[in-house]
Amino acid sequence: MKITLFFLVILFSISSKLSLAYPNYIGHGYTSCLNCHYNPFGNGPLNDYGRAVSATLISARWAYPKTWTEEDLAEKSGTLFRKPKQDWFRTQFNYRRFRLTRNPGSAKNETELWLTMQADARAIIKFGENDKFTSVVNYGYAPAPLSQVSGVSNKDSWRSREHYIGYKINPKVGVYAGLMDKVYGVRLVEHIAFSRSLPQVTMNDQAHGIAVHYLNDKWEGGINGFLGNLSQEENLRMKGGSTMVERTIGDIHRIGASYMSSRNKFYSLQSYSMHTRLNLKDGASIIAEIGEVQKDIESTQSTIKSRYGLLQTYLRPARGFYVLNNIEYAKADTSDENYIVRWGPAIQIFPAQRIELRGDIYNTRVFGPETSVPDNWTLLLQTHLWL
Amino acid sequence: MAIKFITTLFIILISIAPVVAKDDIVFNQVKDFQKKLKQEYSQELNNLRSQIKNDETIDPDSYTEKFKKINFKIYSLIAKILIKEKRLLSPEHKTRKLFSTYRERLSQLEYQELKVEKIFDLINNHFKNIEDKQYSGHWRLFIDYISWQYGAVLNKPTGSSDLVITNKGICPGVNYARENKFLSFSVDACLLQTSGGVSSIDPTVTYTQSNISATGIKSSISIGYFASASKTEIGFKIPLMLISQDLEDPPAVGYKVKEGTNLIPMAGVYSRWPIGNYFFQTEFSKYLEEDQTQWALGLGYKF
Repeated sequence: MKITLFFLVILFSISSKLSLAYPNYIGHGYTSCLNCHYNPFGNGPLNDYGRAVSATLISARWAYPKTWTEEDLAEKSGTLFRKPKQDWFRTQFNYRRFRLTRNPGSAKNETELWLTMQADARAIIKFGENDKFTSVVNYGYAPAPLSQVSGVSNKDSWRSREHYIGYKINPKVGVYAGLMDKVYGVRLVEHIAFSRSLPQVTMNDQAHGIAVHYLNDKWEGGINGFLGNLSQEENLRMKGGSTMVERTIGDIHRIGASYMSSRNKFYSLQSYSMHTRLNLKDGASIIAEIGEVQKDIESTQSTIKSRYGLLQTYLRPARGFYVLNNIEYAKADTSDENYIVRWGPAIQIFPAQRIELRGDIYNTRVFGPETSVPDNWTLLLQTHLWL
Repeated sequence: MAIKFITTLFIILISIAPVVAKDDIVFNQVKDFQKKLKQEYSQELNNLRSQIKNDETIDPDSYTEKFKKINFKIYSLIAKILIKEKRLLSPEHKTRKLFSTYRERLSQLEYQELKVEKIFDLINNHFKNIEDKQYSGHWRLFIDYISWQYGAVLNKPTGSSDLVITNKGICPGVNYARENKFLSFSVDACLLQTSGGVSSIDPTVTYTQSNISATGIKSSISIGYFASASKTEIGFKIPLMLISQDLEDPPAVGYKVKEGTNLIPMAGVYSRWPIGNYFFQTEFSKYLEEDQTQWALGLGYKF
């Protein structure tokens, strides 16, 4: 039992980490990801407006001359530090490096690891009013997974993170086809979150498929049919469909629900969740999600049901400075009494546009009726640069 | 000693004397101008008073420029007195009421309207700033879901093994805070009612117990900062936990459990999220002397 718990903690603690989307900006009044991203469900390249928001609302401005107005900052948010001269082509580059320290401060078992998590080049071609046609390619570096699977050698690789074309039929409906993240739950910054890892919607789980996005004053949602990642072996590809619906409450908050069903040759997954994103103004927000995942394994004809919960709080004491707290719950097998709670206070600093510095502490605690194990600690320092 | 005291007192008096004298001069100037209004412009003054009182339409052109100018002068002088005020004067205070009266007159006379409003905003902001910095006391009741770890040692005939206990339970309590618009200084205390299971860190040693009751008191002092208009609060906390949790000795001879310290000092961070008078709060603290933590998630009510 102890060994199982130990591996459970290790598995949940050392998975590689990558920040992608920022749904907490509902605290600034942005209920929909579409405002700032080409992908209407969030993640991936920022559109021109998103880059301007990042320069004028998110990042601090102490590094700039006082004579620079917010408009000057917005204009300098383009790839080459200037306003693009044409409307149809955009490029972006992202680089992210981590220092991961396990059991920080412990004389006995402190370990340290440097990781390049992201080195992506992105190209966007777009035409028409309000980017009616878009084509996005995002190609980059994928580090070898830290979790070892027996018989599989882990290697760094270069891969397409996403490539898709999108067409907005009208201001409310858009259709997107290609390799994309699956439409499910809240696309959190922290892809190691149980709410992303258990339903398998994390950093390497993109799938080829078609997604339809709908947005009106009160409702936003999408349906996604997918065939798995076609660059994977046929029998590993997760094929299926998913849907996510959000409703705006009181003009500034959101509640939502998701469902996903997928399978490959070895197992099938059914996931469902409910979530909320609350705007507490001045950049403060609360995100909460609860969900269950049912995994039916073909070879053993067995079923494992997992449960997860997330509470994420964000505060912005000053422009460019965020304080957050991730409180997560995971029960890997609902028939078992053991569960995990991970507590993660963090600070996130954007000292200037194109720079993000972040420090996270993760304290992972296992609860079980008959066992007690020392907490697992992780310190994560992160530098994220983008052009 | 006496000479030193007298010298200090003398220096203080010397240093504040010009301020007092200056304020008196301004007050006297206000009085002089008011006297002048009553003596030289009594007709206009009475007309204006009566028109404002009866809510009549006022024709600014029916008043002389000099009369308007003196009113503006008095208004400016009162503003000069108010801006130096360090205490919070309520809008009902006689000087602030007088200030409002002259603002009303000048607005009806349509004299230097932009300047009048600018001065009025300046004074309002001055008192708003004083109000924002003033501290007031608030009581809160809360109940936390809490989890904490606790160390112990199993002494054996051949040495010893470290034990770890993972506790969870509730901690209902009370908080008192002195806070202004920006900062909060608070103390709180809650009654721990938790239970936990114990195991040896060394997997070769079998020692387990479950549902061991733990009671105690957790008391904290904290300093917080209000980080948004909705008064979400974040801060640092120094909790001190006094606990009692009895572990059973193994039945075998020579085996004895030595419990850890009963008094656990910690340092941590907290946040508080108000929803009306209700709030939820989080706390994450690390023990100062051990590599262990306590965290809590709670709900409460602010009085």
